[in-house]
Parts: sequence; C-alpha cells; structure tokens
Amino acid sequence: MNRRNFLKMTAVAGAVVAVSPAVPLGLEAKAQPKKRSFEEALKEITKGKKPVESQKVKLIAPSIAENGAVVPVKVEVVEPIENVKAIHIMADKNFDPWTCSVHLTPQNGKPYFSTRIRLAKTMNVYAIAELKDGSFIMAKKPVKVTIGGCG
Amino acid sequence: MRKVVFLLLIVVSSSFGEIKWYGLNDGFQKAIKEKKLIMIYIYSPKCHYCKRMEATTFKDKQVQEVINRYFVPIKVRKCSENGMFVKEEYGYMGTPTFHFIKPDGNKIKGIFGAWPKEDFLKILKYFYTGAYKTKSMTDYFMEEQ
Repeated sequence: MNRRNFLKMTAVAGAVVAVSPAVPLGLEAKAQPKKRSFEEALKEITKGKKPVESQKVKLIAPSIAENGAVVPVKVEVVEPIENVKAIHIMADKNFDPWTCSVHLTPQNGKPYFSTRIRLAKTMNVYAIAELKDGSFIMAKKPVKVTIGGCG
Repeated sequence: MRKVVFLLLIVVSSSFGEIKWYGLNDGFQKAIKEKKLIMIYIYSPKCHYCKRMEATTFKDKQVQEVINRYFVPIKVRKCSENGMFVKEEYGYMGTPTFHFIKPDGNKIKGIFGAWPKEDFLKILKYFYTGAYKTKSMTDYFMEEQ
C-alpha cells in the first residue's frame, strides 16, 4: 500500500465512523413510544365513546406487584365470543397508557387472555372490552409497585 | 411508687419505639431459638430510597410492632463483610433488598425496593401468616381486591 492509498482509506474509515452513529440514533428516535395522556389514548381506542364499568369484565391483577416490570394481568369478559370484538389493556400513568390490544374472532373460543405488563409506578390498570354493537365496557384495578430503589 | 410506674412506662414505650435490628450471627441464633422468620434488610448509606424508608415506613409504630413481634430483623450494609455474604448466599437486587428467611436458613423470598407503610404491612402479613406456604406472593395479591 502506498501513502496515497493509505490516506484515502483512513479518510473513508473516518467518515464511516463519523456517520454511522447518526443512522441508528435516527431510527431510535422514530421507534420511541408516543407520550400521551390517558384521556387521549382512551379516546383513540373508543373513538370518543365512554366505556361503562361492568361486572362482565373480570380483571385479575395483583394489588401489590413484587416487580413492576412484569405484572401479570388476566382479563375475562363474561359474554359470548361472538359479541366481543377486542380487549384493550391500559395503565393510566405509564408513558404511553395504551398497553396492548387483542382483537378477537369466534375462533378464539373464549373472550379471555392473560399477559404481563410493565408499570412505571403505582397506578390503575384498565381492561376495556369492545363489543360487537360498538359499545365499550370496562373494569379497573389499582396496582401498587415499589416507590423505587437503587441499582 | 410513682417513679417506678413512670420508669416502667418509659421502658414499655421505648421497647415499641423502634425496630430492634440484630447483627447477622446474633439474628440467626435468635431466630433458631425462638423459631421466628428472619427479615434481612440490605441497605446502603448512599441509597435515597433506604433513607426514605427509614424515615417513613420504619418509623411507623404498627410496622415496628409487626416486625419486632413476628420477625428477627437483621440489617446489613451492602458493602460490609456480612453484606457480601448475604448477597452471595441469598441474592441481591439493589437497595433496599429484603430477604425473608426461615429459621433453618432457607430463603422464602427476596423483595426489592422501598414501600409505603400500608403496602409493607401487607407484604409482612403474607410472610407472618404463613400464606407463603400455600401460594406465591403474586397469587396472594391477585386474590386481594
């Protein structure tokens, strides 16, 4: 390798190193979750309709979660599967309160599902069932997590 | 006579006035002798949440009474020799960490983080009522409305 080639390659390598961190950073910025209020997220799910609290939605979650990063949540809707279009989970004080949505078909057999969600702090968890007639019914439960700790 | 009664009152009130922390060896000996559960508290002097818990939850009379009655409380500093031993033997999740141990030395469960007094009392209840023998902590609190 002569001096000219060495300098060219060094310049190219330097340019690649300088540019490369910008690419993933840009992608990360786009991939960040959207910060929104509970009301905004609820409006997006229900298209402005107000969910009604109902005994038909059974939300099972621990009153005290030992680990806020993996809080088990089970939801059952006491309705025939044909009447339930979707189940939405919300956590009102999370960065993005819209935690997850499960869209159901009669092939699912039963309007039930269980998952684990992350809670940033003590807050209310909501299970909202979207019914076939376009109405929404819900249940909520306060779940407490640790105030905090040091790593 | 009045002086004796007054002194007795002071002794009785001070005995419930704070958590009686034990050292590692003394604590285990006491737990074996009295067949009590052990609660090991791993703290760090620089930990904000440890200070917060000590200034609030541990100052609560009900918390103090429950801990002194049902547990042998052991307090170890994270970086001390005993702290290193506890971390290696029972694990460590950060500060504060609480390990609940049977008198025979077997670990029941470790809990991470600072808790307000109402929640900490519920957590303590899970252990001292023996509920841990039949169900996991998550299942126990799932049943609570």
